[in-house]
Amino acid sequence: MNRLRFIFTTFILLSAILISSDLKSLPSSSFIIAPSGISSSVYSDSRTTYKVESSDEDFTLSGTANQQILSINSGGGKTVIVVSSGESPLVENKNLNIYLSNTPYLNTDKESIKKTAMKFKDSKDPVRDVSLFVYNHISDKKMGIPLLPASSILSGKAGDCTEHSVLTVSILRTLKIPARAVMGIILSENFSGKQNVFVYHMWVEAYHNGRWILVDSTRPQDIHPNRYIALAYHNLKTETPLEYLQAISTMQNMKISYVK
Amino acid sequence: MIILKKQKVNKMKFRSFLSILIIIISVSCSSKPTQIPEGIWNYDLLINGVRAGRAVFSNTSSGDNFVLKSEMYLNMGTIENKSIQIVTETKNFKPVKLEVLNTVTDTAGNSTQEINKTATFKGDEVTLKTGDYESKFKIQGPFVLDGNYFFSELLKNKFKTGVIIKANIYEPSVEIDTPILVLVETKGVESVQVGGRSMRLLHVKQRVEKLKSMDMYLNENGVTEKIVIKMLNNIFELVRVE
Repeated sequence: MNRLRFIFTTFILLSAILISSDLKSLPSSSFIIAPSGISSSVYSDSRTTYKVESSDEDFTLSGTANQQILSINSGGGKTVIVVSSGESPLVENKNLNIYLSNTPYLNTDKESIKKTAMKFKDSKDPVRDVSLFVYNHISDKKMGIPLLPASSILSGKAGDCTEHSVLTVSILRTLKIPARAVMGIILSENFSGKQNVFVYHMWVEAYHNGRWILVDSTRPQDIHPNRYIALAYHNLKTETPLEYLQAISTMQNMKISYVK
Repeated sequence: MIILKKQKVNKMKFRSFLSILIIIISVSCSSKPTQIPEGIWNYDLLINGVRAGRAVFSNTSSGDNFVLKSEMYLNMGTIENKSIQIVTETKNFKPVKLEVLNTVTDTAGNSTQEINKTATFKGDEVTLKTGDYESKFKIQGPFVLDGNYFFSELLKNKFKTGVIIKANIYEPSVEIDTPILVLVETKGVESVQVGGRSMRLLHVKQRVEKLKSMDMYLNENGVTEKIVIKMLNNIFELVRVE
């Protein structure tokens, strides 16, 4: 009873574990969602429709740079959302300044981050170049690390999708390119022996040329937006911001099925 | 024949009465806590029934203060995560200090990273240090740091079923300058499986504003025997071990 703080610690741990997708100590069911009815065409198509179900009536998803919400039906103790995944022209441009601000995790005021960002000052495609830089810089692709500040990631050169995302957002914001982190799931053709499964993941959205685009620095040259389902934004101000917690806490007994 | 039937009915009535009496006695035997528990307790951390780590919680008196310490250890492949939280509050639950020490050790690469956070409180003024960053701000309205306040309020209400206690908890890992509303509700005494044993425990539900809940099960001394959180298709459990 004295440890009411445990609920917060658990959320932090749970987020870290799921996104890190470490299979050595836990059953793979902890990290994956096996969708039903997946067609092999999903790996060649540019757009895919999925049905996402949660046994929580408050469950919701929002439109992002890679998804459009086709319908949301809540009732009878569950919510069913039909989502179309693929490149989506998300042009929302209000309050872009909030996606340029510094946070304790982004360290955009640190000399090491500023110096790194300066390398891309004259780049013709800074979003692509930053993503490639982060991919190559984090040479030790290691899972299991919780959220770390960008300057620690820059010096440590190790991490999983969360480290790739934090460093990417940090450098992009330092370059005055609005950027934000997204937590969601990605369809993997083969993940640790399991075929066609969704795995928890984190990636980035950057506002470039008048629209938001999906940036995934864990695979900058192999992005297929139709294989991503965005679940919640993460503001990178704290380990587990309340709005992020509110979103992911409604994801209960989640099921995904392929529609077309 | 009628007499025999009557005797049979009476016997059945007596058996039913006896069963009810046994249930009443067993329920009333599950007495409720009378004071805030102090001590050190060990737990296994389970994810979907598999042991993923361990935790040690303590609650001790130190002069005019309570000191609550939690240590949580989680191994993920070659990465060891250690999270230590130390809460210092006055005996009437006024926040004094919150220390969070997170250590990530890569046993393969022999590297260690520390992420420390300290919040010190002077009335409504908070000084928060996160790594190299220090910020000062004021918090509107009363807030607490942990569960002792809730326990004390539930004690005043004799852990009556249905009682709800509300208070704001300051948690900088969620919101830097805004405490979070937490509700705690007594759900009554229930039979619960703890480490393969069936125990009669007091069920207390904790809810963070707009979030899903956590179920806590306390023994007659107020010590947490089990905590369950369900989220993202996973079940997190803390189960007390000797």
